[in-house]
Amino acid sequence: MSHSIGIDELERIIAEMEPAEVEARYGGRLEPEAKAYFDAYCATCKDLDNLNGMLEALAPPVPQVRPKARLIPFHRRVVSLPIWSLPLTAAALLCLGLLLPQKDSPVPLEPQVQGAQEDSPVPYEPLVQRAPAETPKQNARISDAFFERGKAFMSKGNHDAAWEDFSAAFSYLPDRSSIQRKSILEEMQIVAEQMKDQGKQTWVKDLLSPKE
Amino acid sequence: MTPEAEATKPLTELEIEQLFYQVKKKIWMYVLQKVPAQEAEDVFQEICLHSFTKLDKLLDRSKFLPWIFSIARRRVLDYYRAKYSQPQLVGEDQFEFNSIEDASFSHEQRLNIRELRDCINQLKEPYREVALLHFVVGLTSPEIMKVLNINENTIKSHIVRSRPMIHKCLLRKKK
Repeated sequence: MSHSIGIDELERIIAEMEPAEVEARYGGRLEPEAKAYFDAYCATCKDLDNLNGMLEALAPPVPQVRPKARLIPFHRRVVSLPIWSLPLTAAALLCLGLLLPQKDSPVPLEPQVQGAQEDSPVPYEPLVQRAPAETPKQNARISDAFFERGKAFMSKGNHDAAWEDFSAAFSYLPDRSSIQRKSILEEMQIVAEQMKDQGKQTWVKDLLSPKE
Repeated sequence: MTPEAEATKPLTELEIEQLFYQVKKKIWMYVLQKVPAQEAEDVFQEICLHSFTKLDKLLDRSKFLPWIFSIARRRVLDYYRAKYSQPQLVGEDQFEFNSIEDASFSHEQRLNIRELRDCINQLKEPYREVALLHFVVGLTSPEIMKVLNINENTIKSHIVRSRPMIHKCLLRKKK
């Protein structure tokens, strides 16, 4: 003859079986107190089974995942390019590398000042304050950039701007006995002649003094 | 192509998207339960970022779910390692689901949801992780088996045993 089941025994049983199985096997033998406990337990189980659905309904939407292009490793993206596009990609990367200013270059490598791009001369606008370069190589690159831009100014007839840039190119020269120094001074002399015609003073004559 | 070869061939972007679509909600629910609200999205994005960058290492796409969950679990641990000396329970600063006004849930239901979550968090390991993955994240036993690399019968047993523990915890709270 089967005995009735109290709360203590029920607790042991529900720790080993699914609620439906407990109901099927022991449902008719539960003591009233155990029956009430089991009903409450079944309600909890139902809530637990529905918990995920309720949480999903209440949770904020899944955040937008960042664009895959940023997430997929670079080598995977490159490998996925069609083979015929590789020479084009290489050429584009090469052009970008050549055309973009160097990271540590304080001035653009191409003439950027308004006066260099227009036919009519415009007043020279002083360049922004630059941090002094640290290595001779950097100084040489800055000097070259000023020199090239000075020539561009000169070809547009903006002598003041050209003079300023040649002066800057000269001051940035790491080694003043270099060939570049001679080129700069030659250009400066031409500008100085033209400025002299306009009644402007330059210091190029000091540099080209008889002692040279 | 054999099923083995099919499973190991490189994933296309579409396949990655489809795989991720299937699990992202589960991952989000897992993170919300584990990490404080204000940090949840950051951790979620960390998981996405990490999984996308490490996709090369996923050799078998049928293991995507356990693979991404292992990343998620590690990211959550990393989060707590960075924040505290050791992982802690979320406690009071866990995501406040109740803050969202939704007319379909009564105040009692919301309170009940909160208490259930608290009780799951208070379970001892290994019951807590299994209960969280099953009741909160909504993974099935075979899925949890893959994620935790535990025998399926053990998982079923943990689920069955965790229910009375949660029920007792609820009763204590209501007293």
